[in-house]
This record gives sequence, structure tokens and C-alpha cells, in this order.
Amino acid sequence: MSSSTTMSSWSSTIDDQGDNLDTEEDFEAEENNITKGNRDAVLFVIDCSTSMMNKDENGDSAFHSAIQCASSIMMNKIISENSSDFLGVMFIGTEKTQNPLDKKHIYVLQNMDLSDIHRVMELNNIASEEFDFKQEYGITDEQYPLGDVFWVCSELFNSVTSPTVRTKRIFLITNEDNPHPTKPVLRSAAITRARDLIESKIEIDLFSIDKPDSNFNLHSFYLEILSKNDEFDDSTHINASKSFETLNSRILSKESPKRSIFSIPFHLFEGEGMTIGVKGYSLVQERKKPNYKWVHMRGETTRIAESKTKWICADTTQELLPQDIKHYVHYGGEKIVFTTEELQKIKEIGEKGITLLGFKPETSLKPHYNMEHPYFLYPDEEQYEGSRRTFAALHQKMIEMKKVAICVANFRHGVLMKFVALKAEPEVLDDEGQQIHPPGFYMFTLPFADDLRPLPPHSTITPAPEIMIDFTKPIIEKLQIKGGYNPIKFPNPTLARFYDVLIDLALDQDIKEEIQDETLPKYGLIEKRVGEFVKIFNVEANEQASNLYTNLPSSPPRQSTTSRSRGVKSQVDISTLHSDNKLNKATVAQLKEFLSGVGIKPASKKDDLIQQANTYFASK
Amino acid sequence: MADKKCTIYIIDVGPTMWQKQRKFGGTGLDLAKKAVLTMLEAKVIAGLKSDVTSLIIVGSDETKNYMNDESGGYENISVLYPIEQPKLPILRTVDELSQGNFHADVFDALILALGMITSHCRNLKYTKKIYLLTDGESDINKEDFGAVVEQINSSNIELNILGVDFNDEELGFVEENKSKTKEENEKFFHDLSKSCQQATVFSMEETLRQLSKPYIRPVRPTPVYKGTLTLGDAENNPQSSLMISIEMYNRTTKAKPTNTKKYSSVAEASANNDKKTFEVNISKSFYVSNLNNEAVEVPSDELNKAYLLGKTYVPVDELNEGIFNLTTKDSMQIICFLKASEFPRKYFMFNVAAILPQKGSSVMAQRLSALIHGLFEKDAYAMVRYVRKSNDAPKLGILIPYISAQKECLYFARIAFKEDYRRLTFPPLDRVISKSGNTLPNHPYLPTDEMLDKMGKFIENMDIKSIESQKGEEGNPKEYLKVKECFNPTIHLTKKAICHRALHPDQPIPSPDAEMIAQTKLLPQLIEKNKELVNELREILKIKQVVKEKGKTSKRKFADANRPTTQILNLDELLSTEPQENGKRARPDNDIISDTLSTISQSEIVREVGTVDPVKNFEIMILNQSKDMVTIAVEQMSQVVLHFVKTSFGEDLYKKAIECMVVLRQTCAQEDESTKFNDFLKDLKGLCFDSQPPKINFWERVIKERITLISSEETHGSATSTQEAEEFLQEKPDKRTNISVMNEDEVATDDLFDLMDD
Repeated sequence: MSSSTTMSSWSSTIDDQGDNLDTEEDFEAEENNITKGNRDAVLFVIDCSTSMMNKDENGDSAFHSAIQCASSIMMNKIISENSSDFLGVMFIGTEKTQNPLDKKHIYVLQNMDLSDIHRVMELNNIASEEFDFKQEYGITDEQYPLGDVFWVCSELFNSVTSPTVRTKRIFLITNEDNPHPTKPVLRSAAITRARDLIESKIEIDLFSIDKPDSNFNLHSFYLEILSKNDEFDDSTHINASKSFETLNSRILSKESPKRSIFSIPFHLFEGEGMTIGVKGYSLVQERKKPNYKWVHMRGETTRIAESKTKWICADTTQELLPQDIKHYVHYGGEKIVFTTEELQKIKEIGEKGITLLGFKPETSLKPHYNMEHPYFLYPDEEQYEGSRRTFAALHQKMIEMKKVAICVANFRHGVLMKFVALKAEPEVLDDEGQQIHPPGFYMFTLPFADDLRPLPPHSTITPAPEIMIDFTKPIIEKLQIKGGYNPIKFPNPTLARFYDVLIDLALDQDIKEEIQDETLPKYGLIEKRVGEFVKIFNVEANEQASNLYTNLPSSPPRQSTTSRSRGVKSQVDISTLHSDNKLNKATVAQLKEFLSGVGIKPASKKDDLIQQANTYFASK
Repeated sequence: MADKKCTIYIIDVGPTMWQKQRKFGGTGLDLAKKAVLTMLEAKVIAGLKSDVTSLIIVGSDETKNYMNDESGGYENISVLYPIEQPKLPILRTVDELSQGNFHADVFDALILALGMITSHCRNLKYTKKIYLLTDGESDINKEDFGAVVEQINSSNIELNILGVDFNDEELGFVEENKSKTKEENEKFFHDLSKSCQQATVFSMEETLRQLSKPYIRPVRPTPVYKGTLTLGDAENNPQSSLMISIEMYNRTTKAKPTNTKKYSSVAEASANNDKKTFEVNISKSFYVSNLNNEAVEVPSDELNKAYLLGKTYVPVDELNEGIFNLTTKDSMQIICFLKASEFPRKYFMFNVAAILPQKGSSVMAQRLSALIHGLFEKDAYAMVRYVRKSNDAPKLGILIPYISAQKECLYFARIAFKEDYRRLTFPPLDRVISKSGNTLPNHPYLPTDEMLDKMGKFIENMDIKSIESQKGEEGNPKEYLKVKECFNPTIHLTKKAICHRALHPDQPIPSPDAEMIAQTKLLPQLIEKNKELVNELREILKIKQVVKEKGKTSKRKFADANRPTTQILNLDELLSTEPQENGKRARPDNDIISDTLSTISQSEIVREVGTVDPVKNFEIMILNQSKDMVTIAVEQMSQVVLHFVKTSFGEDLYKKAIECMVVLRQTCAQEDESTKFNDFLKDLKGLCFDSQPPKINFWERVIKERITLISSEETHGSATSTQEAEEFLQEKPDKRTNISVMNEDEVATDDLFDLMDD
């Protein structure tokens, strides 16, 4: 089976030199494995009725958008780490029939299988202008039992036996809100079969579309069969009525199945009853070019090669078992040896879970306190009952009070502990009430003191004249994008190029010269919007620059009062405070800074510092 | 190119240093040894050739120094190590430093050190340091004071005098009953430190306190990028383009614990003692599966590189790999600006760097400063496309203005591309919508006003931004857990373990610093302060740990209703061999759900785990809804695996066996069959090590796949702890002596027979 070859483990990532202390990378690898070990299976069920084919003023039809979505999702799977997910495409309401149960008006275009470039091209062909659907598959006006549709669905999912498939979903795209208005037998059969699907953990996601004359009424039929899993969990009905573009974005937003990276306890305080469960997700994580694999192409079929690594004792040439291997460090000219268990013990500081240590204002989370991608946390009732309300209370109050939670986190045994900051993010909905950003905590990994690098000396403030600052402002204003950053608009050009070439190679086409690179600045637009303002800035900057050279001493430094930032002006403050006899109002840090500034080694106690400052002013 | 450093340690080992027991920390010599060891260990860990040291002792029974050899007058002073890179021997010497019986002049030793340091460093650029550790109880000949001061200053030497029980104003320490000599000498050292430009007198306590802090070796800042920050088409429209020459430095970088390498304990045990390297080599071999699904080794030169595209393998010509790359030019270009409030931090992906003006250019500094302040005042960020060097992959970054009291820069953080971002939806936390679309005002998922109120108080009470100082220290309330005060315990424990193991190879590794461990726990004062409030919270939140019921999440309960169910297939016959435990596994009440799905494909009727596709057989049996076949399936699967291992020709069937084991283990963990699985694994291990020839290779795979015993952490039915499971996996059983060696012919026929049987 092809699936088993793609899933076979690959060990080319083994670092030949390094050893196993480097657990961060292990964890990352593990994260990827979690993704790979939890495969998704999605079956597109697309209604092909005449009304679905109706074109709007732009020449688009609901059917058309649906097929495009299927194509782009399949393409995304191909070019992503999800390439081992299963996809299938099924038409309903066709004249022609093709399905394992021979049920009428159901046409299985693509069986549940791994994505493939040829399948994408088949879909693209159907989506193209020239394609005559009526001619190829036919459209029926007959009523066909929806129950049969679900039955075929279950049959198709049954063909997916891989144990690593964890999510099975049907994307049903239709504008028929009441399939069997007059036939109660068919209606109840459909409900029974839909429930059977849900019972066997196959989720039905309904993307509903309004008909020109009537809105899609959920209560007519579909309410009966949706969301039986958890009454209050994610909605499985997505209203995509507004436009086909929304249909597109709605389907894409459902694209990735939820895969948690860890599920761990979150200790809010010590003792019983203050620990809740949380699940962690990677919503943002770098996607790299895939690693190449070794294949064996001699013989009839191309077969993937697996590597096996053996460890050999250099002195005895004997093969080593894991327990024969110890570890050493070069230190002072000798090898200092540790056992694997000892190294493990060094790594394992703390228990698995997240422990709350306290709260700080949001502003304490400085921009440079970042080490890796964040994790998204959501409560997990399956570990602790009451997690959700407790989490919700914490979440709401932290947003109100603008606080972050400082915690220690251990995702699992063997991974180094770290300090993290949890920031509560509110739910964000779009105009139609659909979620854009989910509510929950983002967990940011804080650096250790060991990870901080000082700012080099030439980061000292070089005051620019106020006028230069003012000239930057129109540039900044006129080139601001509205609505903030949306990653969807910026595909990674490196990956785009890589897959372009790979597809060309696979299809034996000529390789394209260039790709569309959305990250390139739009020079024309920049020139048009801010070209003039930049010119003004440049002229002024050159003027100021010549001042810098010719007239260095007299160039007046900008007054600090205009800038919000220059909070600490110790020289001014301290001498004013001294003359006002209010030196004790100054902080220890200010006093120390002032004293070292005038060449006095500051003492450690505040009283002494004041004394030192007084002495200094007295001597002046 | 690191700065060259030369450091000489002078330790007074005279009688008073080791005879006098102090109240804390042992003798003066103990303290001095500890201080010098700590300083030397940091240098040995760093292992820099450019950082050289020497060790001189004063008051020793012997005399060994070149000045005495030349002219005499420097008795009882010994140079134990010449100026060289410190290695383990010097550490051992300090650790076992012998006591001296003479009062010798430490000032003479200082003169000797000066001579050594100046002749070693000559006029080359060195950072020169001398540490003098003494209790000042021996007489000092102060004659050469002026000349010494002049030489120290002219050679630019830093002198640190670390005095045992010297008076310390800052600590408020004054030794009682101080001897006259010591009093005079202390004054002399203070005079010396005042006359020299870089000399300080420290008390030993202060020194050790400083040294006990985790040491982070400063890293010379090196720019990761030097180039131009541009806005607009600088090449074609330079006048209307912004161009600022910049340098970028990492502001945070992941520091990692010292790397270890593999060490062969087999070499350790082997007899011939010369020239042993203890190194471990790696050997990699490749396998493909043949038509019978058996792994066959292939030479690596028969292999091609290929990328996977969907289901298709696309072979890649290695010479032509460049075609995949994007042509780029090193640059940092502004794409647009954003409101700071519209850029959530969640898109940050890596460590953060700082952008500074080109070094030495006040013109560029001024321009960059204008941009920094412009962004700051408009509360905006800039988005950039960044290419580190030509033909590198372009990255997206965000520039954030940063201005502190004295410093300013733009922070650069890499942000997510489309492909890096996964959009998932989660149910709202602040409302519950019922199936029919109504918003429910009350629900167990929603916090009550009381909960919110108390949670708010809790957050307020647990503030650590401004916390009353811990006892003993005075001053303003201060921030707890500042980033620069939180050290990576693993890094520091690793260092500590290396230093400790080097000097004391037989002792266990040290435990982590208590101070660092304390940082990972809730502050005791916060626990005290919040006890009552938290009790109130407990009352209302009513959080309960969910005890996982047996088999609750198992497949059995959710068995696939659509799977064609076998009707009456004489399963009872099969099952009768395995009596059902009462109530252990209730049959689903309703096994006729599927009467509507009446098609039964014969191929799906499985009641035995075969050897052709055991995983599939096994899974179908597990999912069987009309009859509970789990136990039987587990037992049969176990037998199949043992059979595979037993009969595998070479390693042919090992892969298949491992695949079976993975599924078996997973199922057993879910289905409360951990005991069966654990017994099986023990049998298997016995088979691996006891059979003739042993199948150790297979066990090695088991270790690699981490197929452990099912622990109690995973499922309640297991009595095995995680640790036991781990030990069981790694432990090599003693060679069993009671296994008689089998007749080799016999073994061979057995294997052959089994193979033919298949």
C-alpha cells in the first residue's frame, strides 16, 4: 500500500555529530510527528443541482466555488506537511452513477486517497470555463435519498483503514435545506444514517448556501443531524451564503483539523482543586521545505529506502547497543563521562505541566522577550471538570486587567523546562459573526538570562532633529496597511518556488522562470504614495548631515521634552532634586546612574548614595 | 578572535591560612581554594587557548621560582604552574593544595607574578590580572612599594586582593581581636589599591558571593547582517527612496547546554589499555522492501534523492538542485507600515534581533533615529522583507521601535508566512450557544460573577511586578522573576556536573542550585498571602480531576457502527475458549444498529490474526461490534509477533513485527489490556536475549521505537510505573546460565521449517 511507504519513518535527520542533549529539536521533531501521526480524512460532497450551477453576475456558481475549494485544499495538502491526509470528492444529484454501492445519482469522482497532483488537475479541469458538466455527468431533477449519500460516505470512509487517521470529516456543500419534504420515510432514513456517521466519529460539516428565492433554513432538516457530538462545542454548520468568496474562505478556515501538541495540567496554585487541564496547539509554526528522501529506482518500481543507523565502537569495532553508550564532554583536556540516565536527570527539572508563578502587567512582556513560536492554550475538560469556567474567568479578568501570567512550563518529560508568559487573547469575529481569532491564551517562551545578548554600545541614542522625525510621519501614515497583518496575504516565496519546480518536474513541463513573490515591496505604489515625502526627508537628512560634519559642537541636541520616551534624565533630575533638597525622592537606580556618570563609584545603600550625591554637589 | 587574557593566582598557604577554623566555611585556605577553583573552572569550561593562567603559592615548604634561582630572597614561594592554558591538572592541584608551614612575604610573590606576567605578555595586547588570596598574617617588606605600583600601572594590570577576614564596610564586618600584623597589612593593601589604577580589595565573603552567581560568558557582539534598510526602489529612484546603512545584532539567542558526544562503554571494559579512544562511529545502511515486503539492504550509490509530491516521488538530479532556489539579493526592504495595535505578537516565530546604525556613522545614526522616533510617535511598526545574503530565502519581519533611557534601536522579529499559520476555530469562552442557536446565560462552562470577581482579586494578589522585598533586604518593592535573573538551570547544572565529575569521578552528579529550583515554584509569601482567597475560589470553582473510566474513550464504545457486522459466525465457539470476565466489557445494548446496512462483505469477517496482514486483521477484530474479540485479538497478535521474531530470517520480518507491536501496544493501552501486553513484552524480551542465537537486534529496535511496558500513567489498569517501564526497556538481562546451548543443526531446521510453514 502506498500509504505505508509514505508513512515509513525516515532517519536522515539524525545528527551524526551531536548527541541527545538537544531536546528542543527533539521536541520540534516530535511536534511534526504528532501532526503526521494524526492524519485527517476529508470527503467533499458537492451538490450538483441546477440551482447550484446557476451563475451570478461574476459568472461564478456555488458548484464552481466548491470545486475550486476542493482543488485548493488538495493542493495545500500536497505542498504541506499534511501530504499524508486523505481526500475524496463526491458529486450528488448527477445523472450518471458511480459508487461502490451503485446508488443512483451519486458520482464518486475521487476515492478517499492521498492527494496527488493529477487529481488536482482533474478538479481544475472540471472547474474550468470550457468544461461542460451537464454533458459529462448530467444533472438530475429526480429526488434521490440523502440517506444513500451518507451510506456511500460511510462506505468510502470504511476504505480508509489506516490507524493513524484521527479525524474524519465530510464537507457537505449544498443549497437544499429540505431534501425530502414529502417523504417522511426517506427523511428519517437520512437522519438515521447521518447519526450513524456521527456515531462512528465522522463529522459532518455543512456549508450552506442560500437559494435565490429563499434562505437556507437550518430548522427544516439539518438541525436534526448536526452537532451530536458535543452540544456546545464547535459549530459544524457554516453559513456561506453571502458570496462564493465567503464559501471559499469558510471552507479554507476549516481546512486544518485540530491537532493538539500536548495536553497537560495547569497548576494555578498549590494543593488540590486549583489545577485545570489545558491543551496546547501550534497555530503558528515555521513550515520548511520538506527533506528529500532516498529512493531506489533500479527495478520496476521506485521504492523508498529506509536507513538504519548503527553505532560502532571505534576501538573494538563492535556494534553498540543503546545501553553500551555513555556520553562525554571534553573538559580540560580529558573526557568527562556521564551515563544516559545522569544526563536525563540533569535535564529533568520540574514536573510535567504548567505552574503559575504570578502576574505582571502586559507591558512587562517586552518585544525582545521571544525565543520561538507561541503555543495556543485552550481548556481541556477531559482532564479536569471545571477547567473551562476557571480558564474563562482567568481569561476574561486578565484581558480586563491587562496582565500576563508568568509560569514555568514542562511540556513533557525530557523536555527542558522554560519560563513562559501567557497572554489572554479575546475572540475576534468578522462582520458576519464568524470567528477570525479564537479565544484562549498564547504562551510565549521567555528567554533565560543566558539567552540575552546586550545591545552593543553604538545603540546609544543619536538625537535626530525634531524636523527629521516629523518628516518620517507622513511616510509612515501613507504607507500603512489597513486591518493589520494578515499572513494569508503573504505566501512564502521560497516554498512557492520549490513546489512550482517540483510540480513542473513531476508533470515533465518546462520549468518556469520566476514566481509571483508577494513579499516584494510594490515599488510603484510606494513611489506614488510616499515618493515625494521621502524626497523631502532625504533633503533634510542631507542638510542635517552636513551640519553634523561642519558644525559638530554647536549642533543643538533636540530637547527631550518633545519625545515621550526620554523618561530618565538623571543629570537634570538629580541636580534639581538636590537643589530642592528632595534627593530621597530619587530611586536607587537613578542615584547610581548619576553617580557613575560623574565618576563616583556608587555605594550600595540609598542613604550612602544620597550622601555621595550631596558631597558631589557640595564640592562643585 | 578573542581577546588574549593572562591571569596569575597567588594563594597564601601559610600556617594561619589553614590552622585557624573560621565560624563559617572552614579555613581561609578552604575559601581561597573554592574561589580560585570557581574562577579556573569557568576558564576550563570555555577552553580558550588565548586565556592563560598560572598558579603561585606562598608559604610553601618548597621554593621554586626563577627570581629566587637568579638572586635569592624569594624563599617559600613556588610557581606550581607556568603561564599556560589551564587544564584539569591545575584544577586538581588547587583542589588538593598542600598546606605550607612557613610565613612568607606575599608582596614578594606579587613582585614575582609581575615579573612573570610582563615577560609573558611583553608588549602584546593582553588583559592582565593578578589575584592575591591571603589572610595578611605574614610580615610584608614594603620597601618596593613605589616601584611595584609604577609597574602595575604602566603594564595596565588589574590587581584583586581577596582578603580572608578583612574588614568589610559594606557587609559591616569587622574581625575581632585582629593581630597587629594583619591590621597593618590590611592598611597596606588598601594603600596599594588606592595607588594603582585598577586595584581593589575584596573580602573573601564578598568574592565568594559574587562567584556563586551563575556565570554567563560574555559574547562579543557580531552583526548577523550588515547592509541597507530601504524604502522604495533605491536602485532606480534613489532620491525618493529611504536608505539607511544598518547593522543587525541578535538580542536573544538560545543558549544550549554543553554538547556531549557518544562514548563507548564497551571500550571501557575491553582489556588492552593503550591508545583507546572510546569514540563511537556511526554506520548507516539503507534498506528497501522487496515484493514480499521484506527489507533488503541496498548500497547507497544505488539510491537517488527524491522529493515527495502528494503520492508521487519526484527524483531530483543532485547537480541541478539549484533550480529549486529563488534568486534573491541581500537586502532589508520596508514593505509597508502597520499600527502597533493591529499587529498581534502571536505571529513572532523566533528569537529577536536589534537593528543599529552602521558603526561609526553619525549620519546614519541620525537617520535611523528619525525613523525610530517617527515609528514610536506614530505608534507604528514597519514590515520588512529580509534577505540575509544573496540567494538566501527571503524572510518576513516586523520592526518595532525601542527607546530606553540611553539606548534606542529597532527590534527585528521574524513573522509568520501564510504557510506557517494555521487557522483553527475554538468555541467561545464567554458564551455558550445551544444547538438551536440560542445563547445560554448560565452554563457550567461559564464563570459566574462571583468567580470572576474572586479571580480578579487573585490576579491582583498574585502580582509579582512589584513585590515586597524578601526578608533581610531593604529598599523599594521590586520585580520578581526578571528575565535577566532567571538562569537556565539545565545549562548551569550541566556545567556544575562536569566540573564536579572531573575532580570527583566517583561521586554522583550534584543537584541543581536551590535558588534556581526555588524560582520554578510559587513564592512562599504568595502562598501565605493567598491561602484564604484560594480556599474561597476552590469552593466556588469546584474543579474535579476526571478519573478516566475503564475503556471510556476506547474504540469499543464508539465502535464503528457502519462496519459490516458479522452476523452469526460461530464466534461463540471461538470465544468459549476465553471466558468473559463478568461485566468487564458490556456488549453494546444495541447490536442491530446495522440492520439497515445489510451488505456484508465476506472479506471483512475476521476472527483470526493472520500473518499476511496482521495489523488489518487485528484492527477489524478490535472494532467488531457484535462480539468482543479484543482479548482474543490481543493474544493472537502477541503470538504473531513472537512468531515473526522467532522465525525471521536475518532481520527480514523485524519491521513487520514492530509495526504489529505498535498497534498492539496502542490498543492494549486503550482497551485495558495492559497486563496482557506487559506479559507479552516480557516474553518477547526473554526470547530476544535467551534464544540461540540471541535476537538482540530486535530488542534494539524495540528500544528505538520506544515500545515500553504500558505504565500506570497511561492507563489505570497497569501496575507498572513509568520508571519501571523505562528501566525494563533499557536494562540488559544477565546472561542466563541455565539455558543450555542448543544444537545448532536443530535451530537451523526449526527456522527453516517455520519459514516454509508460512
